[in-house]
Amino acid sequence: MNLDNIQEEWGNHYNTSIEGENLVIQLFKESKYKKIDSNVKRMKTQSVLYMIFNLLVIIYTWMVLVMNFKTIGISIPAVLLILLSKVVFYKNVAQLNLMSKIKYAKPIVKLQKIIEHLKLKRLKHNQFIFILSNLYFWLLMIVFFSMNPLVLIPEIWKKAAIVIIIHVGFSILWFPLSFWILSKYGALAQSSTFWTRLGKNSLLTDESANSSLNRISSFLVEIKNFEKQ
Amino acid sequence: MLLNEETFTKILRSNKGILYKVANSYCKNTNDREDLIQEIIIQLWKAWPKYDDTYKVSTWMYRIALNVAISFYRKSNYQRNKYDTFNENLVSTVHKESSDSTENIEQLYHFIAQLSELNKALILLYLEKYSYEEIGTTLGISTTNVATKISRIKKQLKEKFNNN
Repeated sequence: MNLDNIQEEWGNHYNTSIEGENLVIQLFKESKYKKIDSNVKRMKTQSVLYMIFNLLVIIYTWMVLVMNFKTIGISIPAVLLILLSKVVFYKNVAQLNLMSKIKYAKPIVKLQKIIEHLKLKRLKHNQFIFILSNLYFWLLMIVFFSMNPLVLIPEIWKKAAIVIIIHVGFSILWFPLSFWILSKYGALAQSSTFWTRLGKNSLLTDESANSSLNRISSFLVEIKNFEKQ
Repeated sequence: MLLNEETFTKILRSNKGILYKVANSYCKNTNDREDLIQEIIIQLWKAWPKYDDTYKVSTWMYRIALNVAISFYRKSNYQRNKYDTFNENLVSTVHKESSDSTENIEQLYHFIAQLSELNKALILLYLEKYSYEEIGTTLGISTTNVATKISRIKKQLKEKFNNN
């Protein structure tokens, strides 16, 4: 078998087909580019909204921190909230930066790396928020209502100790529980339509970035090997 | 704008083969192929105003088509049944579009189907007789790397054809 002939044959197939021509033009006319554009816009809007929300939280929390600097019960949660919000803010900046670099006319290896890094960042961002959501909620409550837990907890404990036990217990349990949910979610999402739909809409799992951490890592290794001679 | 659309349609017509070859190489069934072709056309249309005419139109089309195909393949392959066989619908599209399609071309598609996403891109560019330098620029790797990889793939290809 001569490989030059194969190149000739390969080069000629499809070139004379009129039917194929019609299909391409038909597909062009039917193109749903508006829909695809709106998907990209949705992703960008999501990141911008996260950034705005976290920026507002940071500004407001700084004000609360300045006003309650000497009250440890409020100032420590405020510092923690500022740190968490800053992390989420920068994670979204990094995602927007990668989104702006997606141009399909770029060299293949370069673009595929950008896409995989974006998926990785998006997935880690969603998981980070999910794992720390309980802590984030309580920090927000403390800061926004200027509740001092060092005063409130002993008072509630005297009246209804069970409330404190349940909340503290759940907060402690949430961390292992969230890791367990994340590890199981990917497998569950493939097992039924219900879980598939939930997976797509939850922003928590593999589906939210169209991939999984393992698949992204292995493809990044594959790209690295491909670049090597 | 109208002139732009006309020129674009003309380019699509004269380079339709690129879309079919890429779609046949990266997708397992007809529906996926049509979806992929449509997605490639959308990205081509979006990139069209920024087309740099220092590159050949076909090179520009290949670069976009392959980038879209790799992303599409990774997305759809994850969502679909991994045991979906490649040859299930391959031939229908080839026969439909090309009356002089040969056994060699069909074998070639089966061979390409077994390659990794990036190697698929490499062999497609090689089959189109692009120079190693052009392939390197399109893929973003060195020319020597292209030469090494192509010689490996050609060796595999020869073995495959000899076995059949």
